[in-house]
Amino acid sequence: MIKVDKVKKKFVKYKSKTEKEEFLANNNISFEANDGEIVGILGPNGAGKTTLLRITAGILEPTEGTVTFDGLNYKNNEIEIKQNIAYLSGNTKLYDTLSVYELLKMCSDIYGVENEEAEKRIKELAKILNMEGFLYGKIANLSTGQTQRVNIARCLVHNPKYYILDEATTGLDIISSQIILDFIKGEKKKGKTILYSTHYMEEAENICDKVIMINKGVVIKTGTPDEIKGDTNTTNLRDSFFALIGGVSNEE
Amino acid sequence: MTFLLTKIFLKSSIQKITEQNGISDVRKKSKAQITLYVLLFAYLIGIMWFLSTKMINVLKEINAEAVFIDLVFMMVFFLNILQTVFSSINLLYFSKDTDSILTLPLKPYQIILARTNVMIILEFAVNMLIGLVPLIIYGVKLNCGALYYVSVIIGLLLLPILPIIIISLISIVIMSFSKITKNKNKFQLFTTLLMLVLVIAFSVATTKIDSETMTNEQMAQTLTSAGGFTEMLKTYFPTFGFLVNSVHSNNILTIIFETIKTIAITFLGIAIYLLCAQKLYFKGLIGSLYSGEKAKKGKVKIKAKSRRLGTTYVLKEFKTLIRNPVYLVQCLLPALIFPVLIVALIFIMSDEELKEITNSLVLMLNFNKPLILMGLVAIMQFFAMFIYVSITAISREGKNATFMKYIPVPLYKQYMYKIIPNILMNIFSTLIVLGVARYLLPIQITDLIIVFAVSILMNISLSMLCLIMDLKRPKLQWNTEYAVVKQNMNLVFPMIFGTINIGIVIFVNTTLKMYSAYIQLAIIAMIYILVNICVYIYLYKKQYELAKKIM
Repeated sequence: MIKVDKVKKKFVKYKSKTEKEEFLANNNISFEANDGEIVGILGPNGAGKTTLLRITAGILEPTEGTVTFDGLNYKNNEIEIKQNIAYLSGNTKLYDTLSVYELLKMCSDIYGVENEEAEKRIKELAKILNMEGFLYGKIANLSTGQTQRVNIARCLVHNPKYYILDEATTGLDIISSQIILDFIKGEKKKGKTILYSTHYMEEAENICDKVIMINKGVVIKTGTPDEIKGDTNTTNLRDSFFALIGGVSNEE
Repeated sequence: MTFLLTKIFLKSSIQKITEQNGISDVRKKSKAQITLYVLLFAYLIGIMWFLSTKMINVLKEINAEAVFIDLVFMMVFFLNILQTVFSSINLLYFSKDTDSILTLPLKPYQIILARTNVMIILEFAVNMLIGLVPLIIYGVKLNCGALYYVSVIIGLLLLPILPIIIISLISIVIMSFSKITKNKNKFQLFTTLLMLVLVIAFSVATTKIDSETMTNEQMAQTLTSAGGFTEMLKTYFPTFGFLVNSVHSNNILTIIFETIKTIAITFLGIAIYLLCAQKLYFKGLIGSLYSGEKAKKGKVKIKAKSRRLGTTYVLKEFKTLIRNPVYLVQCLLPALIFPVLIVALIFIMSDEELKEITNSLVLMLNFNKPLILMGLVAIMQFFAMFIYVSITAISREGKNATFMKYIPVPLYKQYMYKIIPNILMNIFSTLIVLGVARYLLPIQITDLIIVFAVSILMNISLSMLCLIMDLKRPKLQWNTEYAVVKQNMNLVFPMIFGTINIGIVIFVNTTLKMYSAYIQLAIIAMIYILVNICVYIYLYKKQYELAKKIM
């Protein structure tokens, strides 16, 4: 289980060269994601989703609050937690001078996967994610969709327990998006805990068990997609979101 | 139009350098930081002042002080050549704005002239920094008149133009064949290496021609008399000779005449250059854009060896450095150029010349062993200044840098893995230099081992400090690798730390000259063991704080 408890993240924004302003990208955010559950983090661009997931993945440190993984925290169990995490974002870059195989092998070594096991997994992943055609090609020469498939393979190679996926399908064609969504559903069935951020409300509605709606760094609604739609008297999450923030004009 | 383009290219180059290095935010910097920069700048000027004064005094004793002007011009000239070799292809063909430039209704000569102008202006700046200070010192020490300073400025301004257009022309000719290559990266690497080889071959050839056509006596006379060096280069770069002559001259008519000759030849060169560029530039430019390597398809043939974490990480660093032509040429290759040049020089020297040099070095070794051993350590620190592996270790990661933060490897360990390639490169160049030293001098193996150990201790600290600087000022937002090494002010830090290391070696050698070489080396070793321990503890304790800019 992933538990996010009263997380706050403060940043400093420079209005001009001399004038600065502090703002909260995340303000008092709390939620839980249980095993075998896909929790969607929804919100428009700039809502604070990426900051929240980066804090959860240990890339950023919260200004206040804690994140725990089955009771373990970054302060005392950093390496143990990271050993079990897969972090994937839409704009993750890979080492483009390496071949796909070299990257996957490198990640296996870094995560301490035994050699034989790594070989087996790379072969399997190449087949599942349809990467056999470019397994030995340089990452620099792959298309966006192919790169993202390699990214997924990189996440899977060490068989993690928790997935933190930040706008993993942004900018992808429908085939690549579908491969990723199918993969997420498959991992859920295996009992993995998945945090999935997106600004595509329809996508979240399809795959998430629970949704955390964020706007301007604050949680505005939590619940299952059906609960949220019911509470806001709407038929889809997009309308629910607008109902919660009081319309587009209010957002602007 | 060309003026406007130059302005845009220059502005974007300077903006990238200043913004991404935080220079534009002077007001945000603390007083301590500004003071540190001022002190470091003053230190560099001080070192230049010290060395220049010493050289002028030595030359004055044999009434050959005018040679100093030749030496400074030679140094600046070769620096211009090296700088152009490393930057011309990248600037002309691999700038990130190439795509958008191609869509504009511009003629090839307009683009190429604007790009060349940027190179010239940037090299002017380097010449003013590196060449002007020693020449001002010379002017002050020898009470030169205003005419001298005018001719110095004209000389330093005109000097880089001809080498830039010759080297750029070679680049354009080579790159016009890029359409036939299938691998852009390998071709880029090949062309840069080819040009480097051409420059080295040229310098070796000039020395060889002169050593074959002149007697030793004539050679010595040529080297020590004022203008001796210029005679060698005049044949190949006539403008070099004209400019040096004008600086030597006290006659305003000579200065004007030599300057006019330089300008005339330069214009002729520019005309030829633009004619060729008009014909060939677009050919190469389009070739460089569309000749990407295709992904290899093939059977899944897996052969892997189990590796330990450290080996995997260091190998990843090496693969990134070696496979990327920009990193290979700009970060690794400079570490090898100087040692290889030394070896090449030994090969082309006649036996008599070699014997002469060896004899004087042996004499010095018998007379002042600490000076020779400490000199070797100092030379190694000089070479270390040109290894840009550690100082770009974080910046090279670019948008990949977050990878460091979510993998299950402690940050301080990753920092250590990242400096290993820098240290290994240094070990390589150190071994070449010590091999040469052993070949020329009867130095005991144990002495060489001690010198090696001390040098490596110094280089470990240099590598760690460079990494810290890169962590504190990482340049992670870039679109081309070129920006990491060419538009990155951090690259000044290896120079600063290297100079400080040399300063410490000189200081220990001069203040403890009554003690043996071993005591001097032991003191330096102790200083650097202490520094290394402190820096390591700092890296360990501040590992998270240092990585704050990686997001």
